[in-house]
Amino acid sequence: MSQTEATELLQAVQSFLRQQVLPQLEGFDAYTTRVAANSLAIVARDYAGRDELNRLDQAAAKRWDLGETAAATKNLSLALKNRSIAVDQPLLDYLRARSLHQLAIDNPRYSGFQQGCERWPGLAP
Amino acid sequence: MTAAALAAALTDNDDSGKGVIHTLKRLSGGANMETWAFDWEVDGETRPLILRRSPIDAVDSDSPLAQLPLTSEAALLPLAAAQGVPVPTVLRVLGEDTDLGPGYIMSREPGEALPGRILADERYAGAREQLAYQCGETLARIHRVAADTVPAAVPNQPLPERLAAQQALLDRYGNASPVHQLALNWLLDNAPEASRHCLLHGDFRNGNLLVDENGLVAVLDWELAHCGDPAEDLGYLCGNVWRFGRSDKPVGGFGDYASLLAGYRAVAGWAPDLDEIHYWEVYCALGWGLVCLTMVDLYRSGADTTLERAAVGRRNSESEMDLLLLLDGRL
Repeated sequence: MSQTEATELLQAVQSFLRQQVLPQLEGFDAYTTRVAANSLAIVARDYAGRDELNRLDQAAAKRWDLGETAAATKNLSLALKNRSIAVDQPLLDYLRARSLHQLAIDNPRYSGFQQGCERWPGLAP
Repeated sequence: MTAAALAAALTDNDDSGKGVIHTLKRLSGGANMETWAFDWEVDGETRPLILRRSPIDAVDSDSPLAQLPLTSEAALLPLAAAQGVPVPTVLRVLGEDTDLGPGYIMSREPGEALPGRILADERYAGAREQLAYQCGETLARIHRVAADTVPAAVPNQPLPERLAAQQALLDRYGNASPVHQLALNWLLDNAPEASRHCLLHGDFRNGNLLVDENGLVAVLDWELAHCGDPAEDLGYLCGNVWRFGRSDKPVGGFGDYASLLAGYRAVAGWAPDLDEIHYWEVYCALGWGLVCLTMVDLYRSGADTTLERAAVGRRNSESEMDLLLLLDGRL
């Protein structure tokens, strides 16, 4: 038997907060505890989805010559600010795919995520 | 914050005898803003009250989180009330020189402000039918307050300056989001020529509206009030982030555009068109993203290390998705 995986620890702490701590709290403390449990859920999804997000950035960096993958979004922002890049279909599709993947990590229950998945089904994770 | 200090604030300059504080409870807020609910019993009579105070000044004035000084916020409520806007009654204004201040104490009106309940509970089914129209009427009344009659601390910036401030924030936070930049470019290229200029609530949305079975009871949370184009308040109310999951109901998750505009027109005699409202929905979505980034910045700088601040930073991607949806077909 291997030692506990990081993802299992995240799940265990989430369950502890929701099932054992939360029922004893109310008001502001209950709210903050819910935020804490949700934050751990984000970390778990980030762990699972980060690689795909990086692949999108890597492809964009190559296509639009945006430098290192880690700097791609910043360099693209600056190019947009300077109006030195065309806002065409491929660029919009990259931004849509990227935002859909990021939102799938951050808050897949957000109504905009469902709308985005319906509007651009080929770009959704 | 102690009940004793609160009782002292309420009995100062008051000959009615010493009262007692009951059920003092903190409602919400970050480190720089506290809202407390309590009951004040004096001479056998109990009054439900609210205390708002900002013990530390954590945010500079060019931040999207910059709030009116609470003493100015307290001064706005009677101005709105005079135009027929339902608002709480201010009982005490607590200056900076007081133990609790700056802040103020106001009446606690009965009603529900939690969006989840307002949008889902059967009890508010009738209210939901009325609410968009009532919001239109109420916004038109707020907008009757002329810009030159509000307290000096109420921001009054032309749109180009506000857009320039948003660019400065994107730069300050490292130009991390191409979607935000795309949206700001669109806002710059499509800025409307506003023909009207008045007091805006600035945060008029589901969550800041107190509601009962018959609809709107009171308009709360005036700390983002400023002057500008009246269409802004209507677009803000329709922002997807404030529909709380009910994207199909553009007005706060409870109503449609036609009802909102009909209510507005009934009081004001005119109403903005849907393109103007769309512009301010885009502005609102970008604004929400900047609020999220500012909260992360507050957290990282050590100015406010509460969990809520760190966690809200991850809601930035909501604003990106809303912006891409709003701008689809318009770029």
